[in-house]
Amino acid sequence: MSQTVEYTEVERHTEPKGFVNHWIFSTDHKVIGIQYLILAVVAAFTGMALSMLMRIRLVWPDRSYAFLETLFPVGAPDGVMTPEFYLAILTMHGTIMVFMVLTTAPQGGFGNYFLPIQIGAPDMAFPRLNMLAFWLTLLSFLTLMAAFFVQGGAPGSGWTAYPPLSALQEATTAGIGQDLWIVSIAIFCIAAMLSALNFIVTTLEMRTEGMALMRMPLTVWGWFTTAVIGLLAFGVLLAGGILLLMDRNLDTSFFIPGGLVVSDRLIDREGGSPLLWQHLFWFFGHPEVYIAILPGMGIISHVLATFSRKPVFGYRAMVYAMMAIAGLGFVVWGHHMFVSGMSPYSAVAFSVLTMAIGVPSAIKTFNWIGTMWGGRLRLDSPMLYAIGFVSIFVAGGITGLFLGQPALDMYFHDTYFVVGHFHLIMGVAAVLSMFAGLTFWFPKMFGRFMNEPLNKLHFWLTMFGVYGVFGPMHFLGTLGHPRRYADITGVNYLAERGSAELHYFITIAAMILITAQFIFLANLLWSLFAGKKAPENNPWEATSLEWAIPSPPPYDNFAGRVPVVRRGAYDYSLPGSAKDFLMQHEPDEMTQEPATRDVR
Amino acid sequence: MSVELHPAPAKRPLGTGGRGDDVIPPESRGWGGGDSGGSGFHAEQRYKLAVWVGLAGVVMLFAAISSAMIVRSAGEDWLHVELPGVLWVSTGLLVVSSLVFEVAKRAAQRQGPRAMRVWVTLTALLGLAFVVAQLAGWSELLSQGVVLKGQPSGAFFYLLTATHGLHVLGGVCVLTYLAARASIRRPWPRAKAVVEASALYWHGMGALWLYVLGLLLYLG
Repeated sequence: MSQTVEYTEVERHTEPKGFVNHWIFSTDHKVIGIQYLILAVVAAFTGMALSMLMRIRLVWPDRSYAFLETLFPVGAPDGVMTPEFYLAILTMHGTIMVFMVLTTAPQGGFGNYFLPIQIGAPDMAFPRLNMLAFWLTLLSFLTLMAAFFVQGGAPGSGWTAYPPLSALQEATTAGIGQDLWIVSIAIFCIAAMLSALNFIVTTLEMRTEGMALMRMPLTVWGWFTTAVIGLLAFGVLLAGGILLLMDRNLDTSFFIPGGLVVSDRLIDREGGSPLLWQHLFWFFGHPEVYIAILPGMGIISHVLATFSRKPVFGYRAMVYAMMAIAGLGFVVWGHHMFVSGMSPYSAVAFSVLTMAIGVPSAIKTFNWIGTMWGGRLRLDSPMLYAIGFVSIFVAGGITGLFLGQPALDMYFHDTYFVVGHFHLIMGVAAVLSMFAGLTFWFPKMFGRFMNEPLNKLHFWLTMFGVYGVFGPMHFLGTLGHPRRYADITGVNYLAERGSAELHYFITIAAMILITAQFIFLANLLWSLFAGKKAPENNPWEATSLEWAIPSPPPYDNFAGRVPVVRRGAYDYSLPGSAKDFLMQHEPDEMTQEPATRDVR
Repeated sequence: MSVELHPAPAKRPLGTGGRGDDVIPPESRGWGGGDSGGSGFHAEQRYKLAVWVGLAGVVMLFAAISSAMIVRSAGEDWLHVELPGVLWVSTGLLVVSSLVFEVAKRAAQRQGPRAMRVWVTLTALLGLAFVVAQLAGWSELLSQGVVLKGQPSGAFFYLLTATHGLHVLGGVCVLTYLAARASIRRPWPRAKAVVEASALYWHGMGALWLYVLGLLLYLG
């Protein structure tokens, strides 16, 4: 196999010396990518633990647990979780998962590590800015976690932090916890915008010779599109956060209406609009869904092509579909607010635009299947996760069509149907793309393979777990089961229709799902040190530039030189080619064919 | 008979990529631009693009606050706030500072980075004077009894001017760095890139202030 890369000497970076410079305060995009991934893993397991507490509270509301009393003397006196504590862990679960896992790992983690290598650059455009963005993100996470340990505990207003509950010191979630939540999110916004700036400039200005935009791997397109969304969306959330913080601490009244009575006391504010927060929040919140999923879409396209041994079906359509999703994502926020009393005309407009996102989403799904169609599929674990992603994306996407219609949403709004829907499409799909990415790139990042049988076991347990957890939630939603309630065992119309049994099943499935994640974690840690060694630069026989350099990549990626790119990212199974893949830097065999032909 | 067909296909028959020239001489290859290669790091382009992109993020922040202000101004408790006269002084200071920075830029282009240090220092001082004038505006409004509580238009005034002022202070920090760096007799290969990008940011802050002022005049 040809592994030669044509280089030109341009600039050589010197490798930092010492543990601290190398692994802690590093400006190397690869180390920063790993730092983001470690943060995301810690956050994911924290969020998962909180979700387990929620499941326990829902199924055994009165049962006492000594460890809970030790850990949370206020939230769980006598070992029984209070309803307020349930809301607090619900809020923290959502916030941690959305911001610290779904936003950091696919973009900050994999994007940082692989975007520069895939476009043939030695690093991000602004390495120090990159480091700053990571440390701000970590500060944001620590600030958020601090909310658990302050007077009044963590906030209970949900990850959407709707006022007036979130805006009033007098509300039940009194204390500094909500303030910490807002400050944490504000820091996160700044970090995300700095990171987005870096991604955009890197993609546009740091591509190596021959790496035309339409030759970039779809992963790069995913990260780039996500960065554009992040740049434009996080500023709006930051503005909302500042206003909310002022309402809580400086006696302004942006979101607090007049005549509000809390605990028999009239609140001395007037004129504010709680709906204003919803508009600001969801103007960010809906694009956030795509911030979580678009990098995943890129990774999945990349993995499907590699393991189907076929070019991505409709590469350009995939790129334009990502752009369409990103653009439409900014004009559909109203579908989160159908029950807010908005004009039916606005609702119809938001509904039509929401349905329109189905078109690029369907194009992508069609093209993923088209990529696999007729391919010589290699069912290694990255491919399994990628196929799982497509399955979950379809399941979660179709339920979105129900919720996008105002008439149906009137019924489904704030029920478990919504919980099932967004967990599948936003949470599980994105997480499966992370598994696909991690198992795919693990040999490149660490020079070793993960254990394949354990990965496959993890895949099947996870697929059973996620459908077992989030599938029945749709049924709960159709029964009219509201979300965010700590205890609903006494509600007759639900109990008569078997909601308790469904909850019990979901909790068991959740336990299996969480067990599977510990299997993955153990596999990950074990493989770091004792996994099978990856035999060469390019064990998957892939085409993009990261596979042209040693595993793990050297400090300067291309050793201070520049690769020359000669082709698109997915030249698999080219007719007339001697082997079934041509790497992006390899000479074009097609143009080396005899230029003359006998036509007599 | 042998007929020559497509000695170098203009477009490749297979593959997913677009145009990519293989004809660039090795000495001019480098990062940036993909299609055209070019030389070196394109620092100037990178810095300027970064500022444009950063300004887009800042614009979204102000757009969000503006839209909140438009929504909130429909409330019955919205009272008009007479803008303090000193704001016109601060506006003048910021406009003049932009002009001075242009002088600095030209001096640097003609005579090297060291020639701009006085002008850049002056720009920074004008920026600081702008912030002081804004604070004087705050004090004038406070003395009129305009506070945050119960006066949403006043709250937006303080919020918008503070948010803009912080961005200007950030710019003053960069200008201070420029002045200090220009004073050191050491080669500074990226001077042009840094100065042009900083100028872009500074003018951007000027334009943003004119927008904020217009918004405050119209709605406040």
